[in-house]
Amino acid sequence: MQTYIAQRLLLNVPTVIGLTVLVFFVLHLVIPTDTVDLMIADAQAKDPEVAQQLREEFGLTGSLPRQYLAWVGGLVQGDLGASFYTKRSVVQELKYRLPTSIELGLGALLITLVIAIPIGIVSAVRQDTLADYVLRGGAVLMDVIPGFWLATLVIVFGSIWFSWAPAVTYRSWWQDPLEHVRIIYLPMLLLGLSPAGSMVRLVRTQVLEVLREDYVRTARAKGLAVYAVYSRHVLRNALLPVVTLVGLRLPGLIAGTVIFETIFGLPGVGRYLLDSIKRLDYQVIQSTNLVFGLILIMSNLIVDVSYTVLDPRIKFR
Amino acid sequence: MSRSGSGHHYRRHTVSRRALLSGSVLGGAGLAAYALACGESKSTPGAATKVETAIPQEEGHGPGGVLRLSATADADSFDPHSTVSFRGLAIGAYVYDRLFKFKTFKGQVADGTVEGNLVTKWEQPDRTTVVATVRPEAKWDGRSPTNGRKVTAEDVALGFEKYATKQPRRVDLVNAANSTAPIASMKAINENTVEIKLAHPDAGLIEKLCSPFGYYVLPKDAVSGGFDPVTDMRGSGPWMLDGYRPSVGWTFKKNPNYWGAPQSPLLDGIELPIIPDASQAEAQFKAGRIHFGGVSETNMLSLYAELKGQAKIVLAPPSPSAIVIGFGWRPGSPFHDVRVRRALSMLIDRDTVIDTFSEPKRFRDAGIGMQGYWATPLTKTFGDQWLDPKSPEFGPHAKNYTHNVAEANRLLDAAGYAGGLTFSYTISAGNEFGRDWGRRAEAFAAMMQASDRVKVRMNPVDFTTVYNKQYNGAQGDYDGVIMDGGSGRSEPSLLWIFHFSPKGFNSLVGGGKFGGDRGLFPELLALLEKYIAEFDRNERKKVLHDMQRLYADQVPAINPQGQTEVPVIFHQGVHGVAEYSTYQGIDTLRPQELYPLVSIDKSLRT
Repeated sequence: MQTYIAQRLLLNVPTVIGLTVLVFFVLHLVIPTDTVDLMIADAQAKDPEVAQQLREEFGLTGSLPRQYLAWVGGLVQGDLGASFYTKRSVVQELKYRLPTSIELGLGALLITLVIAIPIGIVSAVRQDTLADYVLRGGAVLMDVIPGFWLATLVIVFGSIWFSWAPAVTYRSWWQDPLEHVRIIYLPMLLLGLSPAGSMVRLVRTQVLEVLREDYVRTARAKGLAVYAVYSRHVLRNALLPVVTLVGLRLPGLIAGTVIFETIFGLPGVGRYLLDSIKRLDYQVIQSTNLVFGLILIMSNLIVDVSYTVLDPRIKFR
Repeated sequence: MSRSGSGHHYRRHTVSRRALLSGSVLGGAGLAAYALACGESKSTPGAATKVETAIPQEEGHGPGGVLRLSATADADSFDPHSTVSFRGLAIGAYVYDRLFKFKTFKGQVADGTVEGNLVTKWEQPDRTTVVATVRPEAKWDGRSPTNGRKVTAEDVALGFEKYATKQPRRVDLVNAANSTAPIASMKAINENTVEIKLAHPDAGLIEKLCSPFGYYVLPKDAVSGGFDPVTDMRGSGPWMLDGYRPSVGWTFKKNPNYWGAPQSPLLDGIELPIIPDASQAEAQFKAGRIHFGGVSETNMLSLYAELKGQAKIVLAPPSPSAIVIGFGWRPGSPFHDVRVRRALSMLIDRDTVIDTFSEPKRFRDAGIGMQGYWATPLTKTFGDQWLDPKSPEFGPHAKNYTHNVAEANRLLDAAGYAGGLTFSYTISAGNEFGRDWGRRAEAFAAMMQASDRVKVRMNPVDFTTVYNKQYNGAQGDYDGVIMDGGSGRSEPSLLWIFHFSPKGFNSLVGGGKFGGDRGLFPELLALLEKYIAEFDRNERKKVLHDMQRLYADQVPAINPQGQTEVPVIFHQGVHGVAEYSTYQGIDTLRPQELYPLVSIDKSLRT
């Protein structure tokens, strides 16, 4: 397995290099303006002297390949650069923000699974009954209702009906665990609800397929308890595609929580990236996208490796 | 950016600046005149006055407590000498003093009178020299590296050197960056005295130095590397930065070294969480977690009714910014004909704009006396400097502001456009100028097309990649018209220079290839130059009124906006907001001019 992992990691090196090239050159070539232009316009000033100073300060005066190499040179040394605006290093910001995004993403994923797996199983077991129809209908509803819209409704109607508002000044676990939970539970729940819909349907389909397999019939015929049939034979096989989906979804959940971070005032990576995109903060955009790309690559690898644990039939060569 | 209901202010920021520029206090604004040492002025150079602070003793409120506000976006930097964002300046205003400020009034409307802030007295020995004395009791933050030492003239001068080279907004003040700007140099003559040398006489200098977009004084340690002003703050103002977490917010606490202590500030501190989502901000206000602001005008009255006496609404002055529609000046452009410009101005029904977007009637029905005013391009917030087009004093050119489709058609026919006039109308497609920017543009376009001679092609473009590059600062080098936000400057000549001088950042009167140094409206420019150099208060007002009349006649651009006062809601237990009057009510003025005088009930303290 170590050989396989090493091979996969090596194979991903050209991917990572390609990613850096793509992110850098698209940002600099396709968008017909730059950070400094935006800064000067934002300050409502036409000031070529200050503009030139800023370009020199930010290292934007050399040729693009040179700028690219300077950036990559920093990456190799672990320096992801710094924001042109705030001067804070990307590493510092990611250390500050990633835990929040990861917690939100993982927590939402857990909620998705906690909701989707039991419902999917019940729906499959009670196929074509009223319970099945109700649960499937609910799943479709969860799927189509955008989570951010639901979040806004919860806040608006919570305020109108109960004069309630969620806690909004973020506290980390270390500062105030109780307050932290009070702040994070609602966005986690709402973020986890929407993908639960499609997950329910996937679990249901997979369970139904496995339930029809011979080995399940054999297990029942042997007199195994229902719990044992499901836990030892059905779930382990039915949930393999779910593992794939979870692995593929996780990077998206970490990177894609920007709307919830905005609504609930959470200091996550999504907001950081969004603010940076709005003001073309090159170093932040480049480095953060690279980090997300690496997370995606690693999560794919973890999913692939986990298959050998979950399914003994799968072996690495 | 920072960014939103009625759209009283339009300037591109990531944050919607309308919320930031909405004022907080009932009041208007008037002329703030600066005079020579022997001149007659409301703001005679002399001793700065300490604002009276009646410490409320009744009803369980008094010194203490933390006021909770909200911000819509983060700041890029805390350094007012280099930050490009409005939010950065707004945060700086909590901690850093300006040399001068607009006087806060109790029991009367603020009229733009200036007073010393970090400066105790000033004189003008000649028209291009100002000598100012730094307040002897002013001290820096007690923490390292400033350690509570005195503010000196050297701090002022060194800081200005940095500001003059780094801050893009220096174009308003620094002559080396912009020949219309007044200041040639700022030097320390001795420990307590600063000499400001001007490149040309500028009667509005002190108001420019009061401006929230102007010069803030930082300690010399910020220049010498004692601390990084981008990420930390050591000021002499009423507040100290107590904590900051990116994307979460700021906390400020009372500065014990503040020169206004112990009378002010009354509060122990201010919390400023970042709440980008509008519905979240309103829910927080309703739940009592925000004491002041954060509610859109659209929802303000319903929230006010729901809270049943637990909240109050006051009217702040209209924003100093007004929307402007600028003309393309390329050869062959139909807008070179003044009849076409006048016609398009007449097609805008400004009263309907007010009624539709600001709904003053709803507020009046609720007992809040909101009124609408036409922008000229000054707004009513400038007090008696603004000439009301509805007043007889304005004269015959006011007809170009009056809605008259028949007359507009007659003018277009006379100009040769009886067969039709088609042009593009370019706007920024995003929310940079406010959330209802697109709706407003569509409304103005629809009004123009009430004339069957006019056909408008809407051209929404991305701000970052197109508008900023091709239209911002293009001096009319485009086809059709553009719609731009105002400059938000608090001093009239700065506002005029921005859009209506050929050297302005976003000149709408040509300059360069259209009209050269004098632009396409040299008469208007001549009046502006006269205004800048005129020190007599009454004469200044007359010149400014003449500018507005000439502007109405020549229509170098259209100001389609009608404006109202800006309603601001706050919890009942917040005191001082209604009692004190601040000039123009701009958000960046409040930390110094208003919040030190605010107190809160014990019931709001947690």
